[in-house]
Amino acid sequence: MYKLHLILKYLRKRRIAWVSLAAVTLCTAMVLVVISVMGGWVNMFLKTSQELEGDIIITRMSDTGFAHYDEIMDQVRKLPQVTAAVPAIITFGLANFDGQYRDKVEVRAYGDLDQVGKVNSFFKGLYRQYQEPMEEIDQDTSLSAAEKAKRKAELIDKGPSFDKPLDAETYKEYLPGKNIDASTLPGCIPGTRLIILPGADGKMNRGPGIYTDWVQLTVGDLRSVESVTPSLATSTYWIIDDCKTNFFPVDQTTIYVPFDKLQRDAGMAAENYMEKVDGQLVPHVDPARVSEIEVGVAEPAKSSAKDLAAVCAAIQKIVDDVQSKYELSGTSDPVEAQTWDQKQAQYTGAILHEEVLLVFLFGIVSVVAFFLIFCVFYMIVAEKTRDIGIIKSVGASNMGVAEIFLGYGLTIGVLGGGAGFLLAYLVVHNINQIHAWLGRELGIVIWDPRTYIFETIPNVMQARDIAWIVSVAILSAVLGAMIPAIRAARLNPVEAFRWE
Amino acid sequence: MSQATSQPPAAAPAKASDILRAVGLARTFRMGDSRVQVLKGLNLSVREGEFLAIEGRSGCGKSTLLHILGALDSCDAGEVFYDGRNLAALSGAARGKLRNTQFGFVFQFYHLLPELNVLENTLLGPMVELSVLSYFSKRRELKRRAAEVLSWLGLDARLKHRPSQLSGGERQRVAIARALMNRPRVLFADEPTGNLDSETGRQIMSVLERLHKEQNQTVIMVTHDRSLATRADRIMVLRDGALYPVER
Repeated sequence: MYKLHLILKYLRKRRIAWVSLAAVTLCTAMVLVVISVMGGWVNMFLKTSQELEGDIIITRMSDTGFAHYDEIMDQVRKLPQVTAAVPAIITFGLANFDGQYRDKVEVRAYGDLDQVGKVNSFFKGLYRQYQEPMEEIDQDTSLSAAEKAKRKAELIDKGPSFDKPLDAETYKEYLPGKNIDASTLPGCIPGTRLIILPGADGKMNRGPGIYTDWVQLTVGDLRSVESVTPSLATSTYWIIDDCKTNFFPVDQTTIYVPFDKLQRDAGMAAENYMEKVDGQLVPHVDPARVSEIEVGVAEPAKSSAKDLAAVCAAIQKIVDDVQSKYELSGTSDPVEAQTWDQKQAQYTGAILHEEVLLVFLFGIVSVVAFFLIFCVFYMIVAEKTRDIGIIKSVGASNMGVAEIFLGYGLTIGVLGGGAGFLLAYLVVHNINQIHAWLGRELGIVIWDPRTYIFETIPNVMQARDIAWIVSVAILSAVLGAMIPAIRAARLNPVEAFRWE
Repeated sequence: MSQATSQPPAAAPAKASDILRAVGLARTFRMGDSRVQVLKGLNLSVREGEFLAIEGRSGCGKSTLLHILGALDSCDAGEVFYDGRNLAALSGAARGKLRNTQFGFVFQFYHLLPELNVLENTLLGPMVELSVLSYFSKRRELKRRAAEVLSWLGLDARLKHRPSQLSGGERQRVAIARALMNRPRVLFADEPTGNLDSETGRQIMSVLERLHKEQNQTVIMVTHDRSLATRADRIMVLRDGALYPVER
């Protein structure tokens, strides 16, 4: 009984116990916050990378892309693990936004739009076509849960489109004086950060006129990039939506346009021409080409690196067979199938190294915290030496005295670990608001999306991280108390009385 | 004036009435490079219900002797028997149990736990003895007993006070209450008035005398003050590591 009684008394009456409690709380909170933010960032990076271009990407280093992609896609779609495959064209261009500013952009186009939602995050990133209607369904209180689920499924099945949201007359009104019918211009979807800046509250403010702005886009003919005078194609588009993949560099530089249009402008559409063979003109066809094919893979292969590599190998075989069929294999620039992490290896490798460094640094912090607790407990035992003599004089055993200080350490560890978790929870869950306040009031910007890729700081705590960090805090408190507890237990009561 | 005899007593044969017996006790302390032998083959027998005063000058080894007799410390040579049991043969836990249930200690500097109030300090013995469940099942009875002991010592109004809020005499009475809580067979008092003014010291001595007379409590008290020692049944003087009886 005396152990419990003394532990509770010491906790309530000794200020030094509050110091050690504060040390455990702060160390736990600090490690939890940093691990949650940085670990969350790594997880977000990996997840977003995978969602960005699909699980497996068939690509070729050359800017001119590769042909016979339809045949490859037909066969790839037949693989049981594959959910969808879409062709993509990627090139660079110069964009003039509504005559107000110009920017270098990456121009991207997806074919087979009905499948793109199953492959990458493009559709989910669309504000007008996906995020806004999803939000409306969620907020519609007149709908039952089943009805909401049904409407969401219908929206997902519909997929993205480049259809313009306004009527023809409106477009004519907003682009008068041109020699063309403005309502016939195609639509385009810029990355959100290309056309919208976040407000002071961090939210994207889409003004009412955003979908009546136009973009003039100039792209190069990829077939002719190696020539001395590459030809260029300039087209005007209406902004019909904006896309926020949450991958800052993508959202800041990418503009999405209709597939057929870009394929033509970039010189990658099929081309019929006459070729003289043995003195006779023979009709010839240059097949259409794409930059890459993005493939979606079903679970469980999607989340298993080994299974995904096996699917990737199967796709590579299909690619090789098609290449052989058209006698295109054996080039120095082959068409390759890569898993998403192989394609992003340069970045993910660096990030995973950073994670190891983080664990190492926090290992050092943990050791420092352990010594802090050890020192505090050593001081407590020194301060309570006379008490130990008193307790022993009324019959307490060595083990009993040790248990007082171990129990004291355990209690401080549990309370400190718990309080540290609560503190970290409050900080992590409000970290974006705290960061916004720091920026607004003190002008401190720690999280720059140009450095950290994402605009928001990850604010999710993993149960696994909480479990191991709080456990280490408790263990540190008990271990920190252990040597002083053993010293206390071994004290001769008479020596303890003489302690000054 | 009573006078100590010149010969220390030889070890007397054990008697049934002896509650505590020391035979050939020796204890040496190392002081830097030198060694100081404070007890040199000391013999002592204490009868149940006896009030024994051990007198001696400061630093002569009185407290050391008391600690060895009370199983708080061990000796280099010799043996201590409590109720016929050799203390040296007992385990640490058994010695702890003995201190908890059979012995009570009162120290010169009170040695109260500063975080606990008067009632809690008094209840320390039962708290050490009992598990959490046993303590809670008996807590009413224990608190009643503690209140009774404290009331007997005139501390009824001080139950919730902490040691820092008490006078020296009150602190010492709390220490006596703590020592008496488990109804010890032997009460060891180490200079119980050494830190008190003479009037308060007399009051504490009266408490010890009342305990001895009214409850037949065995008391072994060490003191350097002859006037206090004379209030005991028997006085022995510790000199040169041996005990000499004082004839009265």
